[in-house]
Amino acid sequence: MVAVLGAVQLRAQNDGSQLYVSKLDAQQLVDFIKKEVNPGIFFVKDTSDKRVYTVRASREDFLSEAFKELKANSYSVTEYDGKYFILRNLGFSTELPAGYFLADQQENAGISQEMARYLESEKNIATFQNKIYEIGEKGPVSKAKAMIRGHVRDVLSGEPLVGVAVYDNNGSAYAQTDADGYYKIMMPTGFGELGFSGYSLEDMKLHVEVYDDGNLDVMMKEKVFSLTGAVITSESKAQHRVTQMGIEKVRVNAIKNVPAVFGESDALKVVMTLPGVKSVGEAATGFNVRGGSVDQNLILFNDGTIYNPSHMFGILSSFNTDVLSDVQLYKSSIPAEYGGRISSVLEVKTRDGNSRKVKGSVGLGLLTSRLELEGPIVKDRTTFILGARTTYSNWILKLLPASSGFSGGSSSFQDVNLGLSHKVNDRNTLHAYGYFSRDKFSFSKDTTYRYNNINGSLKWNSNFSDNHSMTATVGFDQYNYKAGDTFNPAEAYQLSSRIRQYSGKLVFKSMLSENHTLTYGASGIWYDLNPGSYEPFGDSSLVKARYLDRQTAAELAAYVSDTWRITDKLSFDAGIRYSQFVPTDGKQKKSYGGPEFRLSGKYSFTDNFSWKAGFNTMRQYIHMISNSVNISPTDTWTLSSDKIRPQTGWQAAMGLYWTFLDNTVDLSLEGYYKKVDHYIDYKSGAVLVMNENLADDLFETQNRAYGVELMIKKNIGKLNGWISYTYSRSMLRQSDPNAKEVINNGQWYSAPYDKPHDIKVVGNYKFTHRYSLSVNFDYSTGRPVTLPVGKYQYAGGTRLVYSDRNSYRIPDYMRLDLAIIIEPGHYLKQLTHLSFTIGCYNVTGRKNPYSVFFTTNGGAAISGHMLSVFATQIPYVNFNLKF
Amino acid sequence: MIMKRLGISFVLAAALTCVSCIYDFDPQVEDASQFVVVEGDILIGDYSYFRVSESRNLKDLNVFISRFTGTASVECDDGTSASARGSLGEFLIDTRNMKPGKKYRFSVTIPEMDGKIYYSDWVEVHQAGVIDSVTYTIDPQTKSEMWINVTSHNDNDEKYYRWMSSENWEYCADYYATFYYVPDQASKRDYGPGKVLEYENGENTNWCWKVGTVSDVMLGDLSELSQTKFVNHKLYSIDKHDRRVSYLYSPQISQVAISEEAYRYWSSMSKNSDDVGGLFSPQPSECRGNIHCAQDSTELVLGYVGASTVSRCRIFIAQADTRFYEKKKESGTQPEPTLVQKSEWRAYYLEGWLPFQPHFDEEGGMADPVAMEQFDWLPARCLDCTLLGGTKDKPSWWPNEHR
Repeated sequence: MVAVLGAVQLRAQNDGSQLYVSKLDAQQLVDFIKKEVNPGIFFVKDTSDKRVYTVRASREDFLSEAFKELKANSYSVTEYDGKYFILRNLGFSTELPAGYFLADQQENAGISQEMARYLESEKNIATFQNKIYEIGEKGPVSKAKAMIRGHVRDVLSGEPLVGVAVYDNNGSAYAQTDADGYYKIMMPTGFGELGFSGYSLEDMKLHVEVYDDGNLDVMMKEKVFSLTGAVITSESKAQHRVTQMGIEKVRVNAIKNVPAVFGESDALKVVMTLPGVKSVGEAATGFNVRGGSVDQNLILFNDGTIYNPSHMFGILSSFNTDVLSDVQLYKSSIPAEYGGRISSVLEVKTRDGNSRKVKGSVGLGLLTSRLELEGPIVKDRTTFILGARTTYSNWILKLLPASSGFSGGSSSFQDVNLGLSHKVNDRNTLHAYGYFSRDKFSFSKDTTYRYNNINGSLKWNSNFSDNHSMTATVGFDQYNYKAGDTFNPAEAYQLSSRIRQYSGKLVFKSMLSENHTLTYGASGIWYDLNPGSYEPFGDSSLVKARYLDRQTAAELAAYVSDTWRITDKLSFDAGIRYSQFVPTDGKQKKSYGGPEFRLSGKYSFTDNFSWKAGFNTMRQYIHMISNSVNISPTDTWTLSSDKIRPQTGWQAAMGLYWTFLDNTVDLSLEGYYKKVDHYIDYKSGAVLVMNENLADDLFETQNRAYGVELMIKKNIGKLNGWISYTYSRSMLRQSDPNAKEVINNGQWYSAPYDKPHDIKVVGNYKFTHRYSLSVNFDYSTGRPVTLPVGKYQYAGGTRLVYSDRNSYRIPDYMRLDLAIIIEPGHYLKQLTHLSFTIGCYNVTGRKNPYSVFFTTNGGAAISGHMLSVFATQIPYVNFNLKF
Repeated sequence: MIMKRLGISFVLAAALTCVSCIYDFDPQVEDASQFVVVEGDILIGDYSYFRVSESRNLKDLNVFISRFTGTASVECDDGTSASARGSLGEFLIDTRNMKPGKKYRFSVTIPEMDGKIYYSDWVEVHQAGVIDSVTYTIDPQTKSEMWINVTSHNDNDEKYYRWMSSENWEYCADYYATFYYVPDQASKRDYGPGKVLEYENGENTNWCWKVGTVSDVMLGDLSELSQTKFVNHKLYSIDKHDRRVSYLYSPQISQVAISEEAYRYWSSMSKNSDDVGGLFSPQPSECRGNIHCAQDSTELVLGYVGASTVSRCRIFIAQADTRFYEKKKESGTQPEPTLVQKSEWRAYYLEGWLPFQPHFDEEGGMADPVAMEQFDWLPARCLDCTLLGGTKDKPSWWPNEHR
């Protein structure tokens, strides 16, 4: 990669004491200095530097003058051992390994050697691809395998890189960097090749000579687009190396590329584009994973539990994309360290702040404006990241004419994320996270709704030794809502409910040997629920204050799992989790508990073709009480009690994974069968709000679900994205023999989210570095509904006779979205980078039904209606300014 | 009560959100089997009215008229009973002498259903309490909605209530016609222009009366309140363009107390018909009533029969006081009084027009006071109130002198 700079005139004059160069590029200038003044100069060219330099000075002063020029153009010059090191944009720091300089290695091979020596003299960990790194004390090798650990970071921002695949290129050893960017991997002693690959990062292959356990920190850099040759992403690698299945990871870049309604990129909406994930409609942030209900998903935001992940009736989710790092969904093999929900675990993580300089961005969208700020507090040790969003969406309701009766309506939300991380030392990292969101809306002056999420957590990562690490987390989560109604002053009330939970969790990871990695630990949650309070509002209210009994309980769990690599091809992951639910409020007597099994196995036919199978059982002790199909702000939660048994379930799954076309395309086929017992359903006419005897209005239902998910995914290249097809069913059957009424005669019937066919396409095509086109397509069978099949006259009006539950479907759903994303110029010198997105949601303007209903108009005429949430094209523009 | 209000708001939420819309949908559903429907309450100390009918298919456009006859009775657990024969499914049973403190049930034998007998569960008599007042309120901001409210108290320990409103209203035609048209008899060889005659003795087609029943399910739950009374409990609303309140509106509110089971039945019915289709609406579900078939216990019968005393209250709401009603602006040009020459009377009449008043000249004098051939005409619907569904049958107790 030799940079050629057009016609540059070289006019170096040597007139005795005076040196003069004119219009040289940086490389030429350095070459001149080396030749004329000081040969001990090591320079790494930045190909984006198009500047030319002119220097005139005496021979004595020439060096400092030239350096001044270079420094003025963002180069740093460091003297070390009588030699000068010149780098663009970066000072030399002890942690800066040379992995960054790959692009220039050929032309600067000699220099690189020098520089590597310089870097390594600081710390024995610097890396170049064409160099052999010695791991451990050089000497006689005493063992067959040795542990390599290290830290992987982004070369520019210094941010730890999470989820980078680290693998033995000649063997089967595989590891991923953890949440702090640390990895550990067992490598055979002797010569070897260690690969690093991560999403949107350039792959690295490092030659190592392993003598003993040792350290190897790596700096990786973001991929330049026009890459050639095989590039392997961590996702593809992981697919064939880890035994777990049904794990979907979405990077924040991918989230930002997917067109979204009003252009507000949204992590949860992207999760819904993954196979096996469905939602009941467009304004729904509740999602259904493999035929499970919305409350069977554990949503963890930096280890804090989010009970209501929606803003503005579900148009947006709680997560501010600007501060996210990635989103990971476990829909089949759920690691033993997680539990408490039947269907899935969704892990949403925020980034660590930039450890080198303060940066930020502001964004303007149709609904929200966003601010993001990050940077070091103590350089390279303590960083912060702050994200905040607020709406100005009131304008939507303001557009309504005053006579509509809703002029008093409003809707708004704010949320704030704060993340702090502190690197105590090489082995210990501390994190603190805070999240606060506030939603408020009303449709008339006499009704108001508010809800808040509050989460805080502290996390300590510690690597005790090369093969033993610990993560300790404590957290506090709260969700509460308040709904007020002053419709009639004498009956004005305020309804509220609150969930609080205190949690602690310990996870130890121990690499017993090359073949066994043990994960074990314990966790505890103490739930404190105020399921409902109903209070008078205002002085003239006659409402009698009523409070439902506070519910408290502890959910304790201990778990251990072992990843057992039998051969390079065959490996197993076996885990057991024992959870115990203990009521602590003195009113409930029954304690529930039981083991949960998490088993998975993998057999790789080749490096690129593997087969996996898994089986796991789950238990759930907290249940959402709602008979709407969507998550609604007024949903309450209840704990298992003497009358409400915990939900229990199991899932068996199997899958085939094939990576082909130079490792650029992944094809996967997964099938599953799932069964859940004691799932909660509601009697007809059940009262769910402020019901002291709630359990009497519920009955138990069985749920069975099965499906096949086919997905083809291209992670890199100009064209990337995925296409998936899912066939799945989810059926319910009343199983409670004590219930008076029998839903659908005790036969299996469709769950409200049973949508058999499902096709999803998410694609992004990069025309150039700056322009790309994104496409999102979604087709699914309409969801089941209960429709009227007859009518009768009663009490002065026409009433409806309904069909058996969920025996009809609304029309199929189909939507196409397009967006053009314009990235800023890649000039590093620029202080600010403006990017914008122009897009259109629902390009075809299809009126997708959300629900179907019938109105009787008080008379004989019955009319059917469909509600479509976004019934037309929604064009949008979204600006983002980075600084 | 709580959920109903929230539910309504969420439907609005959906309807208002930016670009959402509601459009027509005509699903293909299989026809359900027909179910027997029993409607009515045992009103202790009053006449009890029952209506026994059948459910229809959704697409059935025929008028709901029951084909059932037979005999219905209200039985008391002390062995006494009162019964009545019915036609068109309607039964009026004299329960004036029945007393609270006992259990009652309704039963009916229907010859059209092969003589099957349908009966309700035995129900206890609830005490209705006393309606203190019925009032109306108008939303002070939008002035587009009038609410009918009830204030009532009950010294008995009754928690759940249901209200019904049977309404009478008087309205008038847009223009007060003082003349009417008599066409020439067909027996004449050539139809003449006919005659325009003046109304006498206060006869008119200006004032009409109409009766109705409010179809809203109106429920109340005292267990949520700290006192055993409802204060201005909102029952139902009327839009400012609703002709019911255009002149003189008179709702009679009946209050009965119901059991918790009945309350759930009625709330479920209300949710199934009013609170559906929103973003967060509950899924509809059929709530079982308390009517059974003696011959076939698995047969689904719709309806719930309760027993209660009843408290009633009637009020009058005059547009002259409220100034609430606004005539809905119709699209297109509005008809204006048009001078029609005598030769064209018949043609206009056949077009659906009627004479309104003598034509006045520009000075305000009658154009031809002698010949009386110059009349302004208008479309009949502007002049004849019976064309808007009402009748000239004025209730005997109506508080004005209109004819």
